[in-house]
Amino acid sequence: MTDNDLMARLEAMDAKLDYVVDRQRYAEELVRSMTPVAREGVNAMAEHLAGWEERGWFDMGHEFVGIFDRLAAAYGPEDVAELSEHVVQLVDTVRNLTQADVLDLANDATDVIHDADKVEPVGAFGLAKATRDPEVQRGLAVAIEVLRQIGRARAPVDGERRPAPVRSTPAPSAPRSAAPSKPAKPAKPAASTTAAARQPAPSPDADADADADADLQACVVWEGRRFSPEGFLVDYDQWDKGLAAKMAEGLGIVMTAEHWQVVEWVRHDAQSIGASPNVRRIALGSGVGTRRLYELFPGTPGKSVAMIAGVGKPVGCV
Amino acid sequence: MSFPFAQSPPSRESAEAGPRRIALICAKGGLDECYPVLIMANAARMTGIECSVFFTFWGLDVICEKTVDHLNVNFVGNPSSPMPTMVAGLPGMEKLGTNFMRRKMDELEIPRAREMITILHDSGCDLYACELAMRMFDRTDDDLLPEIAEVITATEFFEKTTGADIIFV
Repeated sequence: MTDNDLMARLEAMDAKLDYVVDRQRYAEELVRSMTPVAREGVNAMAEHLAGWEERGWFDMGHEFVGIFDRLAAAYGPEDVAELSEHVVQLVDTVRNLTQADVLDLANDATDVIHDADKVEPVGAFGLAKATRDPEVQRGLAVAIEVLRQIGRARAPVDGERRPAPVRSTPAPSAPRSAAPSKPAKPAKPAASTTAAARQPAPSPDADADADADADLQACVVWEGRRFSPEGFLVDYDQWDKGLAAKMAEGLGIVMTAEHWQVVEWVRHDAQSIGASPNVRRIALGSGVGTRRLYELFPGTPGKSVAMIAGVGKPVGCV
Repeated sequence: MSFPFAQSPPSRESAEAGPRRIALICAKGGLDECYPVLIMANAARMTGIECSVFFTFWGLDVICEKTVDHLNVNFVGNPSSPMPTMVAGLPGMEKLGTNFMRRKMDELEIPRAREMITILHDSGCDLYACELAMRMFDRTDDDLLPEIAEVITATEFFEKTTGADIIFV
């Protein structure tokens, strides 16, 4: 390090020292000139605080702190978050409540309560008589409207409490849920019901799809074909005479020409009307009559014929 | 493997065997009052249940040649009636109600009472007329429909239907 360098550094330091000393002097001057002002300020502040103290603001503030303590103990942060979500609604409600007419009404109501000693007791007859007063009538209408609003507000709450109705899923339930509650018109008796029962065809309704899937899972496979849990062939087109004869044998029926006549007629009819015919329709349509039908297919003629013919379970009571 | 869905008619739960049997008693002759009997009896037969029906008092109207096609609906005194009793008692209301119900049943392809009796008879349901009621209403065997098996007393009916579930309609 050379002397020149050293000298240069010392000079720089000297300049900095001068600057610091200057600052110090300015600061002292500032303090000196500000002191009276600050004193004034502090005095004023003290006066204000004394005034507040006199008016009891500090005591009140202390109480408010107590309130906040209690609030914090009673409500958690999530409550506050919830409150903030509804704050607009809350303000709306408060604004509505503080409308002049509402306040007047509340005021009048309290007046009535103050003067409650003056009114006469009223029985059922008096009540009926009072409803003839137009003012009472109008009041009743308003009260009923309020009750209606309360009822509306309660309804969804009740709905949540009640468990959702469980839909039973019997074998061919997919189409049944979609079918009209009222039986169809004479031309097509309950066509929509059983047509679909025969073939759980894919439906645009997702719900029905789910039901159909459940049905397929519940199906029983026999002779390589699917049957509903009750024993009705699921696919109309998978039927053949050999299968029918085997099913009839299982049901204890020996097929004769007369049996085949009935079965063929039922298959034809089921396809043309899209529904499994009931006993009366089979008896009249196939030409064998009720009595012979019961002899040919003893016990449960409607079900037995529908099974052997590979159509759905018949619906209806005749 | 044989067909796994043998059609066994519903049998009694107890071990004392035999097929299930029911006995219906029809004591009223209104169009709306006799159909529950006829429909239930038919449903029972279609389900493989043995069934007997005993027609007594006004129920005789359902099995008599002269009356079976003229059964009416009476709305008076029926709390489920769609019209007030005061109105239902006016002349013509019975006819109106009957026509309305007939039309509705035709729409639903429910057979008339006469055909129902025939169907029941053909399906093997035993139909009986009450002997005492026949005398009370001055009816003879000739008044009855041919499907009626026998005119018997109440005692005989209970004897014939031993073990059956009795249903009074």
